[in-house]
Amino acid sequence: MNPTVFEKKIASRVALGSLVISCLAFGAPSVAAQSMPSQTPNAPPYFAIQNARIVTGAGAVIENGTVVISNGLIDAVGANATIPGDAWVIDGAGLTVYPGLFNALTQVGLEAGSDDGPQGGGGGGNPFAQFAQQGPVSDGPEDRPATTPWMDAADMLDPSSEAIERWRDGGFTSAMVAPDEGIVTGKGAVVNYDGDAQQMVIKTPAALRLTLDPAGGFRAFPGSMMGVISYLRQLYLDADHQNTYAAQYAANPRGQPRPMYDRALAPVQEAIARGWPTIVPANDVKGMRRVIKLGRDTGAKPVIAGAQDAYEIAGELAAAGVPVLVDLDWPEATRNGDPEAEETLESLKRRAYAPTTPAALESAGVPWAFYSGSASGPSQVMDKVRVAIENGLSEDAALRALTSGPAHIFGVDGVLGSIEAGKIANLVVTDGAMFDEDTEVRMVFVDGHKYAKAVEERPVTPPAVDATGSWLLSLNNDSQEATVTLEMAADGTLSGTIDGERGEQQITDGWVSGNDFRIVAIGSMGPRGEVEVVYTGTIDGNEMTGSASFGGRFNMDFTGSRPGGRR
Amino acid sequence: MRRISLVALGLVASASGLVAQDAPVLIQGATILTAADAGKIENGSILFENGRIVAVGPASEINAPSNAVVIDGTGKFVTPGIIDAHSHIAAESINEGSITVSSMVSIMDVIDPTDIAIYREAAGGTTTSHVMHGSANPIGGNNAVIKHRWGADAQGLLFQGAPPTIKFALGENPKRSSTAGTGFPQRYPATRMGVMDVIRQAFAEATEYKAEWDTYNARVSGGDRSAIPPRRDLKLDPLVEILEGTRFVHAHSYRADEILQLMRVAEEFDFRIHTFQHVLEGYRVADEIAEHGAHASTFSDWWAYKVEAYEAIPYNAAIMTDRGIVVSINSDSGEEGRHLNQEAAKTMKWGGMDESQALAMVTINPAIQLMIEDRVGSLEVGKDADVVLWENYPLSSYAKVQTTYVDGEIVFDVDRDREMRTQMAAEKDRLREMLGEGGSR
Repeated sequence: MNPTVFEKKIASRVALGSLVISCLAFGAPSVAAQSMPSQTPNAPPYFAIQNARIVTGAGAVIENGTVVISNGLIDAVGANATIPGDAWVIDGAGLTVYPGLFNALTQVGLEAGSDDGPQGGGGGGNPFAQFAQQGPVSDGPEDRPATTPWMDAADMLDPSSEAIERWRDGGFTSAMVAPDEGIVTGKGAVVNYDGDAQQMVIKTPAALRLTLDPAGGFRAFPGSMMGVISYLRQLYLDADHQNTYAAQYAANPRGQPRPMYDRALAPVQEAIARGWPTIVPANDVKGMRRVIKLGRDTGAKPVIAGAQDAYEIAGELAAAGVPVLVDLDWPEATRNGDPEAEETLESLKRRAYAPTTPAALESAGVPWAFYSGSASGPSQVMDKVRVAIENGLSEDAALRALTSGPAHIFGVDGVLGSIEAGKIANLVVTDGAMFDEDTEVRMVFVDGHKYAKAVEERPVTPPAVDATGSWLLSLNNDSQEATVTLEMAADGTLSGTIDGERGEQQITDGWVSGNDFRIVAIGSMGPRGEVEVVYTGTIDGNEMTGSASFGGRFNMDFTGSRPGGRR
Repeated sequence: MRRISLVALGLVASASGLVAQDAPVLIQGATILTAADAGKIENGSILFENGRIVAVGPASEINAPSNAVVIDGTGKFVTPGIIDAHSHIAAESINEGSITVSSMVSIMDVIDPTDIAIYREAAGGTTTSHVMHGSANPIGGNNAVIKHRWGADAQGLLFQGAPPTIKFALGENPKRSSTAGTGFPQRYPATRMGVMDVIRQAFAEATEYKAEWDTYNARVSGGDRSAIPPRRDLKLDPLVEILEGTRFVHAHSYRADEILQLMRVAEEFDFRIHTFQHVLEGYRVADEIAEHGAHASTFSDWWAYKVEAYEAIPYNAAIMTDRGIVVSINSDSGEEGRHLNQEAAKTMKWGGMDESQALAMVTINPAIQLMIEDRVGSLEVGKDADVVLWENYPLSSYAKVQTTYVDGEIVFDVDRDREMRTQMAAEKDRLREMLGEGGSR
């Protein structure tokens, strides 16, 4: 890791911490608080989670211990860590603290469509897209087709992205994000899912990303896979030549033509010189072997992304010293395919054995990590990890592949990936073992900032009304109706069912405090799957009003009445 | 998802791939067509061990070592493995068609060892193929020579030591006749004149580039430490190799005029066209081709699929052979590549070639064209044990392969193939069972 970036980062974090406090003292919201609606307001700079089970990811599990967070960093961890007097102490009884999860490759956190670079022969995100109208844009390697290594994911961040919140709620605190369009797509950054765009960045560049995408067809170079490979060979040769030439020219500039400026080359030169991890996609055996060879031929340090068939060549990958990012989106049978079609042996094998790849990589000693691939959210990721665990991967190894594994591959293991004093305070707190199906994330710390679903912040005021009974709800100006049957305990806890147009839903959580209430249920979105619906509002006698949020995607106002009255 | 045992994984791995022959193999009492000076040996034997031919001759003169696997060849035939001088199998891309000179690309970078055509052609006796770049541009990409070692990886398929070759193409394909006016922008060149201009320009550029390097190398060897090396240009490197005689041109061609044109351009730059491919009008300029020193690789009786391929005759291979050209019959296709023996046999009907001349068209002659004739192409002591055992006469419509060996190892065997089909069906059932889809079929 580049120490200066990290030092600056820490310095700004400390400064920010005190800024937040001073702002909040006068009631002014901080920038971070505005963009992160679920971040706990009034957050102090110190936290201590005590009486928790702590899976540090570095040494033995602490069965009953304390983690102290101070100004964004882990201050202390241990069975008897000292808690500073002004810390916000969280009772961790029954909870487990893990290092924050690290998605080893994703677009979550990047602006949508932000990698459309400049068009034309000088490169660009996808210069071929407009080809049909504009004629050939690349006549050869010298035109640097689809080559934009100067683009840096750190300059393309969207801290207000709703997806960040969704992944963070599922325990993901960090990620490798990188542009994904073109042949040399750009530089990847390790980011935290916290703060504004500058605060998010932990390390950049932390990787260079390539694809082997021959977008040009018969119209623009390169139009074939061999064209892409030959182009990359030429690009790396040119970078090397530029190095040699620049050095010789610097020593003896007179009488020599000066080296030509080429913005495509400097990042590649740097990638070679500094050994940047270079992310290259490959899923099958021949593709992975091709990438290993390309690395040997060019001097790039490949990190293979995809790698679902790596179970077949785990030993070879270990011997080649090539790290691997495993796409968690395991292959599935073709849906709605020709029912008469006979699935090939190759396809059956891949479906049966791809989930054994993690266990195989682990036992071969390959540096590897999981990434989400096209999995749509953190709970799907957990489902897929469980499949790997059923196929022989230990839970410890699965956790490493989501924490220290990616941190190591991208050179940030000094500050991320485990719960150790001095590291960045990225933690995920669960109510059970990480990979158990019933386990839920209770809170998440990113850069020492506490995030928790609002359900965790149940007010302490006792209920002023009894919500028990059968309520008729009218949503969105009578467009939908639902019957809500509630049972309220003495402390205000709600249970019951919601019977609406999409069938009956169980209430998973709910409370009444004063006249306010909050009900959480899982609703059906039809073919789009399930969504968490949160009803919030107030009760006045036998009437209620409020708003229902469907997974944060849209809201419906509602009014309700209790014809039968309080039961 | 159930846990998968490593034993099961092992089974899968062994279900395909090369079958190692530890012991020497003796095929005894067969009719051996050697494609060498020995010609045809009735009641002959061939012994191979460690991938090389150890003995070949009359059965009475060759004894089986005590540990040999002895195969009764009575009533059967043995030939050298067939060599396909022009193939497009086992590659993930064929054309870098975007530009007029694509000599920076190489088929060697995109070998696909999982292409089933490798196995299917081995089932037709093919053991070596010249996997070529396509014909979209006047100067195409670099080619690969592979052995049909089904089960090996991409690097393992490559014919080590085969001299490097490159594809050139003339006529309708590089001038984009079939894509003009279809919405694609017209790429230069659009005429046969333009094709020659592209080639001439490229070699002019390569000559300059070579001079730059020669100057630089001279300065360095003269002790000049301040010399700055020229930029390596992967497009021009192969062209310099052509000029230096270390890379060999295989030129896609049809018409007599363009064949003459290309030879003249090559002679201008003092190199030779190594082999004309397709060369359907070669019979019209056979003497000129022979004088230039080029070989010819053609089709048996396939033509008229486009205008420039109308003036062909089935006597082409025979006429060119009679005029002293080394001629091969190629497939250009994963289907034709499964029965090149029959394609070669057609020259006996159409040109009066004898048995050994016909067999040479798909064995020793393509070996000569690929400059690998000291290793393969005939059955001679010391050569690679690329051997085909036929159930009946190979130059016949009824010819059928029993076993194909590459480097002495079985890559196809008709009985084993039947067993493998059963194994594969069982393996599929097992995998479906494992995936919980056992009852779905």
